[in-house]
Amino acid sequence: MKLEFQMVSEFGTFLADGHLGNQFRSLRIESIWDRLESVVFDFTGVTNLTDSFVHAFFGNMAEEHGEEFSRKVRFKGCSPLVRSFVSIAVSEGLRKHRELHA
Amino acid sequence: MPSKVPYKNVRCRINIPSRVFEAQLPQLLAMLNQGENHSEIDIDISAVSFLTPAAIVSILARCHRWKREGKILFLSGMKSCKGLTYLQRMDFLKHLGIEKPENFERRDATGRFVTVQTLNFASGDVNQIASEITRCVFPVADFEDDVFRMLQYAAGELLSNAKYHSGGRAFVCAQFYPDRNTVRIAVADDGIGIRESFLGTLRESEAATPDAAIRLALLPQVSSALLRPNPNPYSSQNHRGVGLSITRILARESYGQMSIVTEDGWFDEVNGTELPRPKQSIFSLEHWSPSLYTATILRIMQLCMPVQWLKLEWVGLTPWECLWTKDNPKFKLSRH
Repeated sequence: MKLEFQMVSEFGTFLADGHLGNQFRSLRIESIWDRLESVVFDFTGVTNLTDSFVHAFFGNMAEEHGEEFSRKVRFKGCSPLVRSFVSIAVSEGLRKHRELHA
Repeated sequence: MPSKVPYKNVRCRINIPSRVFEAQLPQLLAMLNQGENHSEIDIDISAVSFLTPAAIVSILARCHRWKREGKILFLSGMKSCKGLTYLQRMDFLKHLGIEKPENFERRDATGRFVTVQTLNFASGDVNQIASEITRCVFPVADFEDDVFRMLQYAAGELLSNAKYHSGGRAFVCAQFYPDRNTVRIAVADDGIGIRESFLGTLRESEAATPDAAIRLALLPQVSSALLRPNPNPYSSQNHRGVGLSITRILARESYGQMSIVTEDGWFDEVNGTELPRPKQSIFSLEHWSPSLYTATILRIMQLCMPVQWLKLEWVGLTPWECLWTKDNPKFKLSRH
């Protein structure tokens, strides 16, 4: 199964609510993670976001799945700002995953 | 917990001061404490001419809790209140449940203020309210402007914090003052307070007093949700404990002011310098029944930012990254 989410349609142009991000991750992605071949998050139109959101959403996902996250998840339509937010959250999540599974 | 002292059966009148700026906030909070031991409370606004957003939401959060406790509230002095129109515009009366005809025409508040909005765990759109607050300063959104992004970020983190940590209802409003190029954002809730939010966490002992709890909450990577033993990964790890600490830095770097009040805990930082506790006790003890202490918790957070000073450049770094890499040459958070 391949999925693609338009972040603007799901959350609007400003992504700030970490709880909503975590809820979305849990209900829409984690519940079918094993059946997922790939999932794309399209940030086209997203103008700003907070650390709470990206860490709750992508940081937790990377921490949970480690290398499998890197294989399945792709981002597109990222502005430099979005890219910097997402990359630090993912790096942090992957680092924690490695620590937990070392 | 000590047994509850019965309320006094006399109506208590609280005369809201004429003008409440940051300096008068402790006095206002002490006055509101007078209502704690009474079953009927009369809020007299006859002298009011100017209230900051923090004063407005502080009164509303307190009144909301009093209502929930079954107390009877009155609002008097509307006829002679010079600031009544402003209070109506901000929806102050509406949130007190008072309907009064408005002798003015409501216009678009964009570029000026954000009327009182409410949030709790189940309702309230953080993204939308934070964006409205940003449009106080930027009537036309400029997504590439660093100050626009910074304001939106700070508002989003403040609101998320209140929504998910307070355990109560939060009242939010904001006002932009074009002559001083300054925005005031205030959030007050009637929830459990910061100290109690750390109960049962791994760092509970460091939050033994309200003052200590505020300082713990301001540390980077400290979140009451994160510190719970064995958190459920799908429900508890919503926070990385960076929102308040970064907001504090942003306020400091913009020559701004950040104030946090919880129970009798007090934090007030202006331009990076922490102010001493106010001489006026937030809890004026002559009106304070210790038995009501644990039931009477109010958390207020205010951000006052002179926006013209801040030049924020996120050069491939998020604010979270900046916090940890201050020596990194790419870190550019500078004052004009």
